[in-house]
Order: sequence, then C-alpha cells, then structure tokens
Amino acid sequence: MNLPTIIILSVIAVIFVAIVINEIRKKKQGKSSCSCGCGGCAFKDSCNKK
Amino acid sequence: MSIKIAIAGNPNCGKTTLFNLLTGSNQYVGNWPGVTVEKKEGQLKGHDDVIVTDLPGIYSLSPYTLEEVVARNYLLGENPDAILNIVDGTNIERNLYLTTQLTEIGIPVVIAINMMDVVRKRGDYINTEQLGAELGCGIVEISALKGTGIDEAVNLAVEAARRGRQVPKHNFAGCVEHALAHIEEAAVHGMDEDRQRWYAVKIFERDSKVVEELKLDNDVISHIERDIKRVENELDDDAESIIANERYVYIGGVVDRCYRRKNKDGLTTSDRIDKIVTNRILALPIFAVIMWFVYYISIGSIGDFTVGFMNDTLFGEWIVPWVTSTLAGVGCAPWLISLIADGVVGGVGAVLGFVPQMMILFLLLSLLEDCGYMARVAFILDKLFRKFGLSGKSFIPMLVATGCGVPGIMASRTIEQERDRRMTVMTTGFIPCGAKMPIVGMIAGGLFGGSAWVAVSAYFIGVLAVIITGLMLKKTKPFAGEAAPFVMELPEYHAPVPMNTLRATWERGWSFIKRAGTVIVAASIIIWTLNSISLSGGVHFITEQSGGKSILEALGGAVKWIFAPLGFGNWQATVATVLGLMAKEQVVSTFGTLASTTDYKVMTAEILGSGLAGYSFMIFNLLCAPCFAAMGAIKREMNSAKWTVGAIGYMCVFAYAVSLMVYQFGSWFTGGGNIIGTAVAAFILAFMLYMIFKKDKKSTPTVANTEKQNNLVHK
Amino acid sequence: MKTLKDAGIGSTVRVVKLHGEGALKRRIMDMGITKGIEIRVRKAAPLGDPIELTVRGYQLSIRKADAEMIEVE
Repeated sequence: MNLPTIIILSVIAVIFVAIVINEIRKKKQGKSSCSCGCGGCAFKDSCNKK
Repeated sequence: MSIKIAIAGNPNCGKTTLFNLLTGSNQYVGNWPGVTVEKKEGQLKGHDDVIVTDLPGIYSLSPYTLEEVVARNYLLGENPDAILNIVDGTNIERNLYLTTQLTEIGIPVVIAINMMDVVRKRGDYINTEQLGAELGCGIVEISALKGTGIDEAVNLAVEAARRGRQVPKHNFAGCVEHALAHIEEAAVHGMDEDRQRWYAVKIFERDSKVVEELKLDNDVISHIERDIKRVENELDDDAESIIANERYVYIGGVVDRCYRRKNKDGLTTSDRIDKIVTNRILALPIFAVIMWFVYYISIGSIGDFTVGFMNDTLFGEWIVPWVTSTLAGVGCAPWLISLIADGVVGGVGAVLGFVPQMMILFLLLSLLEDCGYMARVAFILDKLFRKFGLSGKSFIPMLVATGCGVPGIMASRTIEQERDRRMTVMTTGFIPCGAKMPIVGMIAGGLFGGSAWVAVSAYFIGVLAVIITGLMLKKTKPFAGEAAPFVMELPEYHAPVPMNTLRATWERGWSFIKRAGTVIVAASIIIWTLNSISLSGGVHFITEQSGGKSILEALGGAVKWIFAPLGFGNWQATVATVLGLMAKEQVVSTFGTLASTTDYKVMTAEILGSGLAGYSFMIFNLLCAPCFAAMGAIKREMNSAKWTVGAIGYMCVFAYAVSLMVYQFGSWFTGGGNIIGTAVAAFILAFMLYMIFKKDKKSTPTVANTEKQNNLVHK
Repeated sequence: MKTLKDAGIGSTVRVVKLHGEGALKRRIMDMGITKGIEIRVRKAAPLGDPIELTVRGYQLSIRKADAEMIEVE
C-alpha cells in the first residue's frame, strides 16, 4: 500500500465513522430518520418530536 | 422580562404567512383546512424579548378535535401575555365566533383583520374602530400577503401584553347570563375575575375536560345542573348549542352595526373557477388530467431529461472519469478507486440523479396545495373514498404521503374516528412517496423509454391498492361501520405565494440531498465492501483473477428464490429490495453500486432484464413494507403491537400478491407463462374479487352513529 | 319535517332546528349553521355527495347524511 492510498482510505474511514456516529446520535436524541424531505412538509413538527 | 404572544385564528386566514413575516422562520404555507397541527414558536423580528407562538388553525375552542384541544391547553396552561387574533375580513362572522371565545379566557386580544384589500375590492366596508370598541379589543387592518400593517399589529399586541389581563365585554341572552352568574357564584368564585367567564361558560356547556379539571363537589354540580336545565327548557335546546347560538346572535348584532355589504350575490373569481373545477361532469376528468400532467412533467418530459443529464452526463461522463483519473494519477490502489468511484460515487450519484425530478414533482404538488385546489379534491372524492371505507379527509394524509410517508401517516391524526384512522394509516404507505419516485423513474427510463405512463400507472396502482384494501378490509370485523363525519370549509382560491412554494420545494430537496450525503454514503461503502469480499475459498478480495462469490451475492442468493415467481429472482434485485427497507432511495443506490456502469438505463436492464420483470419489481417495492422510519410512524399511530405487525404484514402480502399476478399473467403476453404460477395467481385474484364484491352486511344509519362519536377520546 | 338534505340545488332555506347532539352537532354549529340562519345549497359533488353550501358568506361542504340533522323551512 502506498502513501496516497493510506491517506485517502483514512479520510474515507473518518467520514464513514463520523456519519455512523452522527446517525446513532440522532437516533438517540429521538430525531426521526424521516428521509424523504420532511423539511417542507406542513406536518414536519409532528414527526420530529419525541 | 420576555413577552409571549400567541397567534390564533381560523384555518386559511393567513396565520402562517403572518407568522413567517413576524419571525422570518422557514415554514410551509398550505391551503388545507387544518394544515398546522403542532404549535410553532419563533422570536419576533426586532424584539429579542418577544416570543411568538403559532397556534393550530381552529374554528372554535371545543373539546372535540385535537387542534382545538392543543390550542386550549396552550392558552390556559402556558398563559401567553397576549393573543394576536387573525380575522379574515372576507369571512368575518365565522372568524369572530372564535374571537368571542378567545376573549373569554381573559388574555388581552388584539384583532388583526386580514385581507382588507379584498374586502375593499368587493366594495364592502368594515368600521374597524367600532368593531374593536364593541369587542373590547385592540384592532388593526393588515395584509399578510403584502406585509402591510404588520408593525402596527405587533406594537398593539406588545402594548396589550404589557397592560395585562382583561374581562370580556360581550353578553348573551338574559336567561343564559343569569345561569352563568349563578355558576360563577357557585363554582368559580375563588378564581381571578378575568378567568371566571371562561370557566362558567365551559361548565354551562358541560365541557367534559373542564368539569374534570375543576373537580367540583357533587352538590355544587347538581345545583348548577338545575340552572342549566331551566335554561335548556326555556330555549328548547341543549346547553352547548345554546352557547354556540348565542355567540352567533351576538356576532350578528355586531356585524350588522360595523359591516356594510355592497352586493350579496355577485360571483367571485373563486366561484367562477369552482363552476368549472367542481362541475358535475368535468370535475373528475379535470382531476385526472391535472394529476397526469403533474406526473408527465415531473417524471416524463422535463424530469426525464434532468435524470438523463444528471446520471449520464454529469456523473457518467464528468464526475466518475474525473475521480478515477485523479485517484489513479496520485497512485491510488485500484481497489480504493473502485470503492470511491463505483461504491460511493455510483451509489450516491444514482440517488442524486433523481433530485431535480423529485423537486419538480414537489413544486407542482405544493402549488396545487397552496392555491386551494386540494380542498376541492377532498370534496370531489369524498363519496368515492367513503365507498372504500375511508373519508375525503383521508386524502390529506395520502397527499402528504406523496412527499413522505412518515408525515402522511402522522397526518392521519386529524381523522377523528379510530376505524377510519387505522384504515388510513394502513393504506397511506401504498402511495408512492418521494423516495420511491427514483425507483419509478429508474424503471420508466431504463426499461420503458421514459414513458410517463409508467409513473402515472405507479400512482394509480398506489391509489388502487388503497381502494382494494379499503373494499376488502371494510368487510372484516375490525373495520365494519360507518365513516366519520365530513364538515369542511372550501377556502377561496388564491394565487400561490411564489416565495413560500419555492422555499418549501427547496427544503424538501435539500433534506433529500443531505440524506444522500450521509446515510447513503455510509450504506454504499458497506454494500461495496460486502460485494468485494468473498468468503468462499478463504477470505479474499475479489479481483478479476481470483473470482469467487461475494458475501452480498451469497446472502442475496440464499433468499432470491422468494422473488423468483415475481420475475426478479436474482441476487442484486433481492439485495436492493431488502435494503430498501432501510430507506427506499437505497433501492436505486444499491443498483448503482452493484452494476458495472453508471448509466442507469444500462444498469436497470442488466439487473432486471425484461420490462415485465422490471414493472413487477417496481410494484413490489412500491407496495411492500415501507422504510423503517414509516414503520416507526405506523407503530406510534396504531399504538399497538398487534395492529402494527398486522398492517406491515398485510402490506407485504398484498405487494407479493399483486406483483405475482402482474408477472404471471403478463408472462403469457410476452411469450412464456408458467402453469403453476398462473394457477396460484388466478386463485389469489379470485379470492380478492370475492372479498371485493362480497356483500357488506352492515349498513347502519349515520345519524344514530353520531352518538358514538361523542365519546371519542383524543390523545 | 323538511331537512337540508331535501332542499334542492340552488334553493335558499332557513334553519329551524338542529337535531342530534355531541361532537358533530357542535362542529356544524361552530361552522356557523345556527337557528334562523339562511343557507344556500350551491351544488352537489360530481358523485352526488357531499353538497356545497353558502353559509354566512363562505363555502362549506357537508355530507347529505349529516345534512339530514338540519331541519329547515
């Protein structure tokens, strides 16, 4: 394995871990993982609660 | 000290637009009666110490609907310092009906009369000064749309909040006032003077929630009951209706003095539009054409072009080659290049390619919602929906579900009757949501040359699934009985506010993109890894020389037989379907990672083969169990493990049955056909037809049924 | 007894009394249908039900089954 490979791989690994941790934290906070664009929805508040 | 101001008003009075103006928050403005379900708060622009709360749009403060209870609880429990009551000037009587109830609470009320420009244009006249004086409230004319009078309204509300609580000014008929005085004396004497009126009126109405809250002695209750009975006998009506009546009589008097109508029967623009749009003969064809047009534009013509550009040109010709050559240039290992180019960029790109298409769809639907057409759709379709054991109101959740199933399922809360609500929760997942649209787009573009009919048929299959389910389940025991009542305002049409619509569309698209950047990235990495490592013959990376079955292929291969009768019994399609439970976008993303190309047309053909198999694959993925988030929503709304499992199980079985029928019967037309498969499909078809046409034994008169609705308990 | 359900399309009627009770009745009254008020029956939906009314200057839709509760003249 050469140096660029190691660097890029570690960047990818960091991103991957960050995403996973972030998702787990969101789950724990009870935020919904509603995926498809609740942002603009009139009812968004009702699903982003507890 | 911070000041709390609550914004209250009828649905469709411009409340949410005003709230946006006051707080600058990004919020969606729709035109559905009852669009705001939860309370929203924001800091008043330019006033750090003022918090504004947007109450749900309500017609009254009865204990019967969820929105009204939410508003009541807030006003009584949280004690805001002032209420800014938005009154639609074009519909003043019904709006003031709420005002008479708000003033009783004792919190100072400032009335903001909205849409004064329309009132003037009609040639009508409102003497606002006198109106305010009679109701005992500060009053100001505003236009939420044009943003005029807003500062004045805010200043009046802040001023009123500083001044403190007030006592309502309006009076009812003599005998009612007499009874109210007695009740105040007997039951709520110890309370602050400004609150007594509210509680006295509620006790008089026998409002179950208030009576419970106050815990009155039995002899006090029986004493009060005598007073109430006397009035009821004198006016020949029940107490609750007497109060409602008295309010309107009082308002009638006030309006007579303060409002001058020019012409009563002139046709407004709204009426003219309605003449065509809800016309007896034209209404249904117009609805079908509008829906077809929406899908034609978003999936077919413009949408198909954007998907082609995003996938083939942007990702296929620019990004992937660039990433590959750059990484190769710095001397990166080939397997890492494959991880990034095929895995991450391929997976994320496959999803992102469909974003413009989705945003066009959202834009068109929110335009329809915003201008008031959707309320007409409920009006047009109510009878049809009721035949399937749903109500016109079920259309609201279904419409929301075209964006996302989760809020759609949540929106079913507005349906009062449990039976209807359960049915709606169960069927809402059938409607193709935004995340399912990429699947539709992929099949339509990849196997059917971008035909709009695939998308339109996907939508109609969703609706048909709802209908068939309704017809079948209506005859089962848990769903027997009559539908909930349907009393709905048909708001005036108005031009959509471009900023609101664009903002809403962008928010939806953006959260989709964010999701692609996080969850889909992580999932793509996992899938690529599982697809590149083989366990057979020692753990090793799959290269062209080594060969071998990947973990993913082995897992998918083990269960792919389940889908063989549906025409897509290969491991890639199986893996994509299972991963689709995580999030429906993942279906397309998995295709992107597993296929050898970024050209979505080639990759669809590579994995699914024939158009028929592709169509069957699409139907199964549209109808089967929704994503985990939606399943969670079903669980919350059903509030029962049994019902949740039942609903999701039903969806899966139903999806399997429909796909099986489509594939097995379809095979005969495309050369082929399997006797056993067809026999099974025919048997299922016969069973479904039997359930659909089986006679519904129960037919109960509706009026008698209303008593049951009395006892409805709300969450 | 003549009810709102029997009133023809295009006719204008006056409410005499509201029958029934509870949530539905309250809802109908909240929307402005009270004793003595004039209601114009504007049209029926394409499939015959619900019907559209003009009440107190605005448009309201209501099912025929519920309109049966409203006694008119």
